[in-house]
Amino acid sequence: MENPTNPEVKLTIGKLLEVAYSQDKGMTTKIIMEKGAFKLTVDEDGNAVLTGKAGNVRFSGSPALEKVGVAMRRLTVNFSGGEDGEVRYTATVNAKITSFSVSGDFNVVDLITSCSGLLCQAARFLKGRNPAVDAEMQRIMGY
Amino acid sequence: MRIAFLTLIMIAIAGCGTLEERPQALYKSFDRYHAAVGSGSVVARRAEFFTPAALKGIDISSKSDVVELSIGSYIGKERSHYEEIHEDRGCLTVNGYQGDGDPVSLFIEYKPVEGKWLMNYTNVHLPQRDRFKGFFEKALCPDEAQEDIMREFNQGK
Repeated sequence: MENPTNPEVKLTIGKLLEVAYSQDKGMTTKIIMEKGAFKLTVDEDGNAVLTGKAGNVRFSGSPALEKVGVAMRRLTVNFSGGEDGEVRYTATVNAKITSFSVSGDFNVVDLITSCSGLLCQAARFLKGRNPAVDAEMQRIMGY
Repeated sequence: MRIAFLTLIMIAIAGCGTLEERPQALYKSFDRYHAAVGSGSVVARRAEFFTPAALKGIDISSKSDVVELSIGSYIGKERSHYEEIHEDRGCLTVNGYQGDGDPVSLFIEYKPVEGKWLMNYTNVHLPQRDRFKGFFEKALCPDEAQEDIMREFNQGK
């Protein structure tokens, strides 16, 4: 087993957001596209919650956690959403006698266009100018 | 002759001081630990480096637990270190770069156990390379480092 690395933790965060989206796409999109703070936490049983001003999404994070590389007791990710989908984050993985702190940033739109799940569809809608796609995006955004 | 003898006595007395009182006591302990990680002997010698409390929940047959015992392996090239000893614990910061050149900081809490400083809890900080603004240039325990990391995050750094 390799040591946890920044890219692996970042990938895990992306996967968790994808799972959140598959659970509740409208609320997840609202939360991750909002400016300001939002938060993701996962406990040692894999219970995950994404929380923002718009509300929260609860889901099982277990399938997304296999890449973390340590016996995780808690994962906490603080996000700060900025302009044009830019999101900064600082994540802490608590294990038994060590915690791993990882910080960085990503673009929500880039993240969801590079993935293979449901979030990709939302991203294509975000980038598209097709009225039908825009209508779908509006539906996703809950407007 | 007498002066030389007295000098030797004084050096011997100074050398008998507890490990906690020596300069860079924490870093010297870390250096031995780091060498043990490098030689692959850290698991066998874990009781030399970690407190009994830290090792209580560690299962050496678990690969992920071995990762936790081996966090020194993150430091490929060391850049700086800072340490501070408080009443009931010591805090050591070790800054450096991983093998791939990414920056990394280790924040380690030490506890005194039978005259030795042993690792009790650690934090591995992995900043994103292209947003890296510099290392923390002070001694921090893991809890203090977490506060500083969050403070910087909230300030938009």
